[in-house]
Amino acid sequence: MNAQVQKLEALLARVQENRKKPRVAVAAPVAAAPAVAPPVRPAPAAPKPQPVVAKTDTAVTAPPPASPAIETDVAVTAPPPAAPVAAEPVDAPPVVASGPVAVTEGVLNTPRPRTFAGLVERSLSLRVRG
Amino acid sequence: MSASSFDPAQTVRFDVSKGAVSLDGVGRAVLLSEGALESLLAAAGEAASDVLRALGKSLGAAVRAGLPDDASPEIAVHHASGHLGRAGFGTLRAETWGPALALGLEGAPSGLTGERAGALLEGLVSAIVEREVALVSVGGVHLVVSPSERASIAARAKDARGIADVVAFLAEGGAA
Repeated sequence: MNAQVQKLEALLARVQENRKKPRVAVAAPVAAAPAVAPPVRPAPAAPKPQPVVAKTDTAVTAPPPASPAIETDVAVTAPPPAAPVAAEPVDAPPVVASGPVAVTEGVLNTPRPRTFAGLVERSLSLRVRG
Repeated sequence: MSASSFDPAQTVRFDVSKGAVSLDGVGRAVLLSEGALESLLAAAGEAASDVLRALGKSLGAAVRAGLPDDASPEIAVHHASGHLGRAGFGTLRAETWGPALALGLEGAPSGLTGERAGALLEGLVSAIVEREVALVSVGGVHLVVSPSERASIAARAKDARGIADVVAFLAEGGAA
């Protein structure tokens, strides 16, 4: 009997010990899981906004440079100091910019003739002043 | 040939058996070396300008025939340059200086510079617009002016540092 009682007590003691063990063992991994998860979540989330912002920035800033406008400014402002009148190539697109600088104010407002004959006609009308 | 572009393909034909070269299928042409042209002009002396003006007029007439009356400056210059280039006289450059039109001949044969180039272009433009024009050489380009104003503008051009100086002394004064 004593031997059986001792066995039962030993079993009971094991059961009690085992009950304690799982609680600690389960608690540990659960606690560890969230600890690992947080750093994983922010990692993928962080890079996403950056590219979007970056793309938006480049998309918005690319058009504004408006390189043609800058070139036009340069083209218009560069010639004046060189000479009072500047050449306008005829083979350039018909911008009718009337040249960076003209001889008189009236000339500035005069668009370039649309035909070659008109262009020649206007040149033929030139006279020496005075 | 489209009015918008000058296409020299098939415009020069060689009939070696007859010893003839034809241009645009209408006229007979003669090919000259650059040296031969220079010798001819030198022999012509003061008449060289007249010879070149006549050459320019024949080229200008062909240009005129392929252009509509309201041809834009760009199209007209393109065609004129094409005809000059096909004949071996170089290419045409045109610029507007305020109201003034200036022409230049680039890549021309030796001996065809300065006043001689001006004479060729004078004939060319006169034939294209079908009225007499005069060209005054200034700083490597040729200013298109009225024949009646040539002397006074040329006098002004002699002391000028460049075409801008000349144009600054000009004003539109009505049709010639």
